[in-house]
Amino acid sequence: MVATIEEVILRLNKAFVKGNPHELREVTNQSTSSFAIYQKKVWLSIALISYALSKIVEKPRYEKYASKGSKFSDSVSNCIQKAAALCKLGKVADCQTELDNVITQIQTMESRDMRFLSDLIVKGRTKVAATMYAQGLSLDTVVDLTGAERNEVLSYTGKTTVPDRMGRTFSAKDRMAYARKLLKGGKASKR
Amino acid sequence: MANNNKSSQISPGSIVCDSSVLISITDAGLFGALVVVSRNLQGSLIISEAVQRESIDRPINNPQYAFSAVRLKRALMDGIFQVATPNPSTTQKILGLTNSMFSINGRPMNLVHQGEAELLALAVDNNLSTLLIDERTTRMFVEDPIGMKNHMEREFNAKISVNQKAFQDFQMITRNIHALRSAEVVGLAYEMNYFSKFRELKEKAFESALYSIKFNGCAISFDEIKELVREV
Repeated sequence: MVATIEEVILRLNKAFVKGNPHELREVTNQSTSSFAIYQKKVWLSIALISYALSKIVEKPRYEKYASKGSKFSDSVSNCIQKAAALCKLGKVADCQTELDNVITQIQTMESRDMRFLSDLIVKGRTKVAATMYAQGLSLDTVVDLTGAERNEVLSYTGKTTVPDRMGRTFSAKDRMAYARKLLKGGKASKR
Repeated sequence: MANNNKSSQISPGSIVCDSSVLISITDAGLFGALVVVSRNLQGSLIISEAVQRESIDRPINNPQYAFSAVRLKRALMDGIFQVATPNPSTTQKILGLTNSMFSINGRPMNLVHQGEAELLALAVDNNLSTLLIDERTTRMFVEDPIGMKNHMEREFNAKISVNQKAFQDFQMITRNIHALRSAEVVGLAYEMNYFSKFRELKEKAFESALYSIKFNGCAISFDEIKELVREV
């Protein structure tokens, strides 16, 4: 059975409050698949938030923000709960506003102690886009839907086993034979 | 000579080139291989305006990607590429077919984007039979759409239904199109002695170059690399 948006948002909040990065990554995978199929922005937001929060709860440098009772932690959790409640009432646009608010809070928190040129949300976009590309959506589609950089998605995918899992059709012999015919004279000189 | 090579004259034997190839081959430091091969082609390397925008015009203003974009712009100005405008009606037809071919839970899957449909439209409308593309989804649509469906069923753990009319119409439109990747370009370059500068290391350089383009986004498996090394 496919989970509803509200159910997934509540699962996200529970995983964050418990500080469970594994469960947060499960939420990322679940919402990424839903985004690939339904292509609704709310699924992308949930995927980005769960990805960023999974990093925040597992990395020691974010400990003061992720710990229970911290201003950041309480504020993020409140917004996520509010988003779930709004979603339950069918107020999807307001729910989206709350999720956007969470994304802004994550980016603001991170900007206080910036160590990398790409922030967690930007990295999340690449991760979500690469997953969707691996699932079968085209590169331009995932770049357009997620706002990820095309080069980053290609580079990320290139370092995975995605092309080894699917994509083999013709043999190298057949492809090279065809390629040689495109040259002047129809055949390249052999070494 | 500085021009952007816009032309309506496309010679037979030309190849339609996607941005994914330009990115992986440039980021791997192998753009020279593409230049060498392009000089020996029967036709030209054709790019769409969208590919020019996404591979050159936009990244040239982003410090992270600007150097690759500068190299591509230099090549464009030197006439390595010819920019062509796709026919919007063919593009829309292809987009309609690809994005109605597969459905999940009764919902058509939006898999292909305007940019990729434009490349196919350029090939179809100009009777060109070769697409140079490292991007996997569009290539699979051309080469093995049922393999694509089976893959998505595994990925989404759901049944995917096929719109037979869209499937057959797409097969008919693209029946003469063949896809090549940057891996085959590097293979041709090797056969043209592009790697001879590495002297006794040329075979190792060739194999390493294939791994490099793979890690930069060319959809080629490790087994295919081994096979290609044996083939050339």
